[in-house]
Amino acid sequence: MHGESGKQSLRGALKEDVPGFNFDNYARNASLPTETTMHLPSAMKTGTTIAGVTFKDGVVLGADTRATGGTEVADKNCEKIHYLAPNIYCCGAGTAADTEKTTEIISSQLDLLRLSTGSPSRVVTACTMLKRMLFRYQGHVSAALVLGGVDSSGAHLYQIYPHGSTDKNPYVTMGSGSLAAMSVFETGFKEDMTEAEAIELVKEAILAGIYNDLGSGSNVDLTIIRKNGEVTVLRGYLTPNDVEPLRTSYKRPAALSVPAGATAVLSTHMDPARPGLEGLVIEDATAMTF
Amino acid sequence: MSFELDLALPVLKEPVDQMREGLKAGGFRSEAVAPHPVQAFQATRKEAEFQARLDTIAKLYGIAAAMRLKTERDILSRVCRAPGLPSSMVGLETVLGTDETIEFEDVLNDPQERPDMPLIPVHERMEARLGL
Repeated sequence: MHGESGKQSLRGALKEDVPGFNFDNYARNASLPTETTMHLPSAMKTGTTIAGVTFKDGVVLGADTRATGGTEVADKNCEKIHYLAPNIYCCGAGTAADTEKTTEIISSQLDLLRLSTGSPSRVVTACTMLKRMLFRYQGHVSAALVLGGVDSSGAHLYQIYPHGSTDKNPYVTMGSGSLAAMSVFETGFKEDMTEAEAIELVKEAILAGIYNDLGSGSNVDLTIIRKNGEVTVLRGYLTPNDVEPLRTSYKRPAALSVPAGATAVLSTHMDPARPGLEGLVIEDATAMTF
Repeated sequence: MSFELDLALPVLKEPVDQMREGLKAGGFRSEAVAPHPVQAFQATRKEAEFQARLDTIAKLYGIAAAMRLKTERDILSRVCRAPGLPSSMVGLETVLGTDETIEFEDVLNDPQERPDMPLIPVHERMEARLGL
């Protein structure tokens, strides 16, 4: 340790460390653009399509699976539907880490609450916990959520904005593809749909986001939560952008597919890893496997 | 996220502990930057929430109950191990009700898990805590 960082940690240790968010680099980052000609990149736009509808017997949640870092696709098959409780799931849009950690923490809180009350979690409880946490951080925890689940009072669907405001609606969308998905819901939504109709509608809404929004892409994930307590997690329900079939169908020139062993081995010579270990015999050794 | 520079003239708010922290290499420059908004309200949040709870309890059960809670908190916040060693603060957490909550403070940046823990003698830490 040397220089500024060493001094900072010394000072931090003497002033008693506090857990939680770390702001060690904030002052440095703030002074970077003024001290050099370099300018920090502006805030990046996030991309996602998440949606949910209520139907006769429960809730269907849907999400695309693209994760972006700026203009780059960082993950083609990420998970955006998070577990909160056995009867509650939550789709997340915004900063990936923020949505993951926020839902993780609320999931733990709900677990503790279930242990102390001895009754299943309610969706409105999860919603209140999430909105309180997000409002406390004034939008700096960038999580836009679609919360869905069933409890003793029926099926519920909420949308939660990063600043902590919430809406309770029969069909909701979030993320940059929310407009595309909402256009599908606005034309196709009916009261008291069957499960098959609801799945079809959410699938179409997520596909609208995948094909029309650059921030969304890859596959459709679905989670169905039914009023009888059954939950079906359909990871990779639809994979319209799978390139494997196309790649395998393409005939490559024979010169590019070299079979194994095509290059002749003329001689082999091996040096021991350490001199003096030539006579070492390892007994009872099992080969390492993966 | 905005990088706002506080252009007000920096003021020495507390004496610099030069024996421990060394001469301030950067002068006031590092202090002149306004803290991150979250850092700013996080410093006062716990106390503000406790004050709000005290007000509620004073209205519901009378000023004596609020005073009792405040006294309990003040006593229990002193029950801890020597600095540098982890304190569970089980009494304080029970009184404040934080033993039944999980927040970012409970999972992120645990001082016990930091990789660069500087080895400072416990006596020096204790002196710093007592303001000697």
